[in-house]
Amino acid sequence: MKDVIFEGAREIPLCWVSIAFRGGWSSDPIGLEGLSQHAFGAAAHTARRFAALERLGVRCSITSDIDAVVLRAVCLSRVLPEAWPMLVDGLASGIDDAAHRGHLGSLRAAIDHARESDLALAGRFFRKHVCPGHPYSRAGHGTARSLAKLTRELAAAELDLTATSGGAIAAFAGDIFDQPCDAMAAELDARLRAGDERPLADVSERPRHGRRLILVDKPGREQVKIRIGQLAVGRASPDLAPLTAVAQVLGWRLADAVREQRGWTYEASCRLDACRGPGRLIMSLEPPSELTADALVCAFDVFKQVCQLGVDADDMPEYPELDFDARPAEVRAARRLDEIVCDLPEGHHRVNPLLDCSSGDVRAAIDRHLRPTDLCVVVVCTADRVRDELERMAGWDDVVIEPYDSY
Amino acid sequence: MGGGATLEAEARLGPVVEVRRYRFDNELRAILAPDPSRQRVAYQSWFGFGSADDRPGKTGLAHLLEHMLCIGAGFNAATWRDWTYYHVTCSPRLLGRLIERDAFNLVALGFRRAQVFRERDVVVQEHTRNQDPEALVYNALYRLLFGDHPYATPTIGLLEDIVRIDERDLDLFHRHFYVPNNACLVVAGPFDEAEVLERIGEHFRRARRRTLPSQSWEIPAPGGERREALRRPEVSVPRVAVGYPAVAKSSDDWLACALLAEVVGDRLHDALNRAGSASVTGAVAFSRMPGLLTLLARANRDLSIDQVCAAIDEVIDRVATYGVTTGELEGTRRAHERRSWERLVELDGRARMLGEYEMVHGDFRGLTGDLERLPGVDVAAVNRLASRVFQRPRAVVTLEAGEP
Repeated sequence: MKDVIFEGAREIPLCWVSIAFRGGWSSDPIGLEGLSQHAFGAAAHTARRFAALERLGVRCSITSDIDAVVLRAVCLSRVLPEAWPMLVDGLASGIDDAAHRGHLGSLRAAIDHARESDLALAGRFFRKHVCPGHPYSRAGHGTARSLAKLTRELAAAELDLTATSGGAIAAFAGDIFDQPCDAMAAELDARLRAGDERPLADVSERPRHGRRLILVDKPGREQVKIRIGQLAVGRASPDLAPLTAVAQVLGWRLADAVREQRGWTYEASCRLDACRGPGRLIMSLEPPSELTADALVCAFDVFKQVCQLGVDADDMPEYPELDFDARPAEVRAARRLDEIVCDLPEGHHRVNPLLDCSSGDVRAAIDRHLRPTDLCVVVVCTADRVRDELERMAGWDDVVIEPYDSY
Repeated sequence: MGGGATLEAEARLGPVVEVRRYRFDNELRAILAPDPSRQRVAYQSWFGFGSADDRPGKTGLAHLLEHMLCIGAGFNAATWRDWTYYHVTCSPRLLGRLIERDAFNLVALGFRRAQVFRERDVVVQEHTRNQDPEALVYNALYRLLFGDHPYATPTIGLLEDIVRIDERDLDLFHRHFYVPNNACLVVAGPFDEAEVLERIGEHFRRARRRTLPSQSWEIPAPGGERREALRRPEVSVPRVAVGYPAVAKSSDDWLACALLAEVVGDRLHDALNRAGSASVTGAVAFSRMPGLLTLLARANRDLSIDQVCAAIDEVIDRVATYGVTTGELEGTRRAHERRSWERLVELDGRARMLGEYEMVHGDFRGLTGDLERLPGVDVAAVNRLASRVFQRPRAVVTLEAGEP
């Protein structure tokens, strides 16, 4: 095993179990996007294992995240001994044909669902365009084209490559005092294929592509979904904390300018992804179609102002999202797991770096990483309704238009 | 205790957390769940009104007022049929300031017209945003079965009403419903109980008890099954929703009804997934007045609306005739218990459950009561309920691609 984490707490009669393997959808081969999600999803559904776990009252999921595939399960502690062998089976017993076909169907359904939801479309196309060519630009659930190429053999090979004892990180948290967790970890170790951790995609590069605007064209849109952003920094960067502060201040200023002062949008926010490689800084707006250009101009002004002037000391917020104690258990285990996935030293998450983050640190981080000239803008809209106004008001004359069902 | 509060009720959540409810002279309630093992504190203020208190032609008032009171306050908030609540999780050292700020919501406010109109525009955008397929079919079920009853209207209100709300409507609604005898503060996390009570007493004592508007609603008896077929161009796969009149949260049957809804949802999920990937949710409303037991099915490309409807009918007929099995019920009981604990483990979720039970069930101790009663809900009780509920006239709503 790569690592085993224990975090006991008696407060609540629940156990959280995570089993992770580094890789995730950023390590999917080009043209076979969705492979890791499919391989692990199909394995989990082979012999209806997840259905059996649900009958025990276990909440379980297996997702290919950006940097790792993670099986997560939460159950009543008294159920864990019964659930554990099924969880291990889900990783170590291969993929049957029914599960392969069924799971591919659910991935296709996920694409259908994404095309139906403007929010999901905005996320999907923003990921594609914010860093073209970078592993983080891939579609985690695949595309219609890539899913058509996924065979059971490819999925089985992916499972073999990734689900190895040398790559496994297991975390047990919660009311685990009476559980034989050591024996459980040993069982997992013995059942997984012996082997080293799989090679990981190189995600360190941060490509610059210049300012660009993509309209995702969908008929009949009265309200548009706007995503604006760029790649920033990875988890290990000392600039992650100051840029987290920037994201929060940007969110507040955006909400003030576009929502509270003008009433143009319900959603006005900004967030910074934290991952092994450079994460995305994303501003989100959802104005009515006729105000698309005005809202974009306003958002650019807010972004430019923060880039030029930085953040005042008074603006430095208390950071509720860095809640280091939201839960008695599972959070520390999840953070340790995250540290291992992101190559961070043990204890990296124990200190809240924002406590010592000054407006000067913020200023320096902005200068190093944020560029108004490098913003990617994705707008899910009816292109004919907004294009002229965007060209006139926002000065965009190189707009790319993609049909909403093209990806 | 401090602040002139009287201890009224207490309970224990799990092996560690004790919860106490206090009442002040003006009838404001405070539910305190101190937990010194945490570093942050969840503070919430709950009000016993929601969109069910909107009046015909003035729907959306409770929700817009919630928006107005959040501006610049540092709180997040939500409105539902029976309640409105404001919530924040923060450092305990900010608790005193939060209590002071929160008390402003109970004193007379003057809303500025321009600000009301801007926030009204925001709510219009929120209304547009909320028009997803699941919300469309869910709202249609309630519209079909609830007639003139306020549960028939979505919490956000009707668009034609929202755009007419002005500052006078808000002032009036605020005067009627934001009163201490309609409110309950919930605090969970590390804090000194006496000190918090002292602060609450100090800042909320100016709020005067007032008589609440009398409310009396009859849920209409549906004459027979009601159906509605919806079409929207952007829908990629069909949806089917079925609703049966169920029971109020305070009913002795609610827990059995919740388990029944989950078992039926799971069975339907299995039945539909034999033909491919589909998702099904079975749930019963957590509401003060009797709401609906709903089944919401999202099909896939290979399933037609007729096939989904046939599967629903077959599953319901079998459950109504032969009942659920002991194995099914045991799995659902475990899932229900696990979900409850999962919500209680987070401070914010813990405070929310306490507030929701207090407002909807009528007593936060209903939460511990449900957890204690859960193992005793047997197959016979669930099956008796199934044969009753599934005989009631229901509503069926379908949604597929096409022009409205």
